[in-house]
Amino acid sequence: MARHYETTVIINGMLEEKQINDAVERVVETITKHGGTISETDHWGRKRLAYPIGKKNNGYYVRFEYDASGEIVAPLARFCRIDDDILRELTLVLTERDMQKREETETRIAEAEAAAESAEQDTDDSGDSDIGDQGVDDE
Amino acid sequence: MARYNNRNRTRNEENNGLFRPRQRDTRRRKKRNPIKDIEYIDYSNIKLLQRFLNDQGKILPRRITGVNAKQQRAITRAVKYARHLALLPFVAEDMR
Repeated sequence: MARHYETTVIINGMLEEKQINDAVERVVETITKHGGTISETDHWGRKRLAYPIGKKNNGYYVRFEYDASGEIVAPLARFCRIDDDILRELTLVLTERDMQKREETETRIAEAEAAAESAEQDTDDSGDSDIGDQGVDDE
Repeated sequence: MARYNNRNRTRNEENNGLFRPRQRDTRRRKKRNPIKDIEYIDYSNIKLLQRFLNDQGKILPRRITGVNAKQQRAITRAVKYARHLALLPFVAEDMR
């Protein structure tokens, strides 16, 4: 059964740009070789790792979204383990509901951030102050 | 001792209907759900997840965060994915 998957890989951040691109290309190849069709590639870029992996402190993050059957997961994980330039891999199934929710949440977060920026100078409690509080104070 | 108890009792009886239990201090404030609008907890949203961790990088209990059970499970899962991808630490001295 075809499912929608999301795989994020961390590539060794100490490598040259070209080597990173080669590593990304290798992952893409592996996915397509096992019958996956990539729908989205998301480069997060170089990030400092929260803890060292294999004595490396930096990683280049790339996230792929693709449709494939479940048989792709194990070989892809195996490939990532064998490849020396790939530090970590995480594959998740995305259900239709997940994607819908994610989209909704993303738009809401964007809206909230825009609102927060415009109201930066205002106090934190603006909007829903407690009426009950005032009653107690009057006593 | 017996006299003291008696005195107490009469005092209560005097108070009768006017006696009010102390509750102003013990009553707890209802927690507001801090992330009501967020339905999908993304493991890559570190800024959001960090709000549910203490400075050692431990996941805070629901008792403190005030989120509902479903969201707490989603947060826990997301934090664990984020740790696997070294986006969040497993252990930290001071995260902030």
